[in-house]
Amino acid sequence: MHFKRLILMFIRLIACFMLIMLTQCKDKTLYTDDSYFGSKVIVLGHRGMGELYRMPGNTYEAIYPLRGIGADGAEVDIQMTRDSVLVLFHDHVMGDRTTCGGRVYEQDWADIQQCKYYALENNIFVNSVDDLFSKLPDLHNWYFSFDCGNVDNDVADTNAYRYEYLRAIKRLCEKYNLSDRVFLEGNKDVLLKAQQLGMTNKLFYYEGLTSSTIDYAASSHFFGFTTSFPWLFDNVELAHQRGLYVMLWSPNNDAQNKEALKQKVDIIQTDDPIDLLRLLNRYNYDYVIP
Amino acid sequence: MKLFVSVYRILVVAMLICVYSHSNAQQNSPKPNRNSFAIDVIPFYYDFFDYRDQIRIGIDYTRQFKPHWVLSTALDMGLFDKSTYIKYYDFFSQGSGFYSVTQNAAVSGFHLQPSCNYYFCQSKKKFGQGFYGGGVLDLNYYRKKLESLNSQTLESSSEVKNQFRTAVGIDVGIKYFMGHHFFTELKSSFYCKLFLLASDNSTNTIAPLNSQWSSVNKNFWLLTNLQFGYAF
Repeated sequence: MHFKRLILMFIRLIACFMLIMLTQCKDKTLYTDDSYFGSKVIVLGHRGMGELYRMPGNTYEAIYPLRGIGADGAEVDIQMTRDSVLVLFHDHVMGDRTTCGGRVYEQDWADIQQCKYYALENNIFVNSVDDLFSKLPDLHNWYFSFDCGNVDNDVADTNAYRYEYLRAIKRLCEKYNLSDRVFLEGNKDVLLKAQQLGMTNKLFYYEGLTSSTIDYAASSHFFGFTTSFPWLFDNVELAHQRGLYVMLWSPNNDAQNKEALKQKVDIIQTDDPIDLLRLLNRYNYDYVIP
Repeated sequence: MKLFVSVYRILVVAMLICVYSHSNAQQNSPKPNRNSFAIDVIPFYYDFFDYRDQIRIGIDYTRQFKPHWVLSTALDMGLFDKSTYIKYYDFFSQGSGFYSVTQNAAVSGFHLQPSCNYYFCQSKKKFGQGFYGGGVLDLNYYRKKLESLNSQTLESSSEVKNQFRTAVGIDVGIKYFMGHHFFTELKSSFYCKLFLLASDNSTNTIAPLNSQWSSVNKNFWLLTNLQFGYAF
């Protein structure tokens, strides 16, 4: 009797295990990365390897593993120093994440390059975009999306700042011959100014997908939209019909990655690039993430 | 392939001799449950939580040769990794046009892991149940076949890489008996590479594919195994 009870317990244990396994059944065939425009979905890491990575986002340390794992590039937040150096940094104030205080546009690059992130590892410094581009191998196979929406409202002379900011981006793209591979995300003022400056970067309108914004983006010859899930409004197909790409920046886990694929967006900025690449057979298993 | 088959045969024979000698020894032993066989459960990991395919089996034979000492031999063999890696280029057809390079990789081989462990905490009621720790070796052979295809030029290539690696490590584990014969065992081993021989040193070293973590240089790795087994 005792032996039978044990056998029963063992069978139950195996059954529970198999149940867990079945719930994790592979469902990759449900998802496709085909793009409306005839190529494939571009996979960008949000600020690098995503917010769950142990290195702080917008740093060389968080960005360079992306190509190793198979991603196509990175979304980064760009700010400009007082002496017109483009810096990878997200927050409005530096004190919350780094050893420095103040705002990026109030300081020179010589001061900011000493700033270290509060991170799990020592000596993770704030990087300039120039530094990043000069260090990355195989740079001409990367795509970058520059988020240009962070500081415009705080500077004293928004127009002058915006002009100098876009000129700095233009100079940098020309220096590395990367204009085709650097996307600019911003509001309509930033994008229109970029057009006035003759920038050839792909311009992504930071707005929700409504019929009126789609009309406006198409008539303004923007390249596409950059938006998040709640702002898609089931209008991705309409944007596609008007020749506009849709870049989604909010997926931060496997379920949201899958939802993004279902929505048929063209570019995904994800905080979980590993799971997305694995799902699409685009993950390089040979690479060991540092 | 011939090398793989030859090494595999030698190892199987060695395993059988080892098992046979232990079985004979057991006939004179008055104590029950000094021998056990277990199968790995963790090898199913990739199949369900990842998109790689594996067809592996891990078998572990253990013999308790002194009250607190056990000798084990684990053999983990089969197809360790079958995966596809597609890399796309020029998404907007601004240069040479949109194309892809597809790599299909298949890695088969085995890990032979003899170990010697000491039970530093053992149940007085159930012989063999308790916590243990000890040393372990890893003799590992991989054969990797890599096929790649460029969709633009339609150039295809195929290469085979053989790799033999030895490692030494420490392990800790816990064995729990569900009754008299059936048990479940959880053990973790931390390995350090001793030496590696590869047929092609120009390509990347194949990481230990049975591990859950490995260092960037692939010289250190961690292996955790959940096993179900039968003791007799």
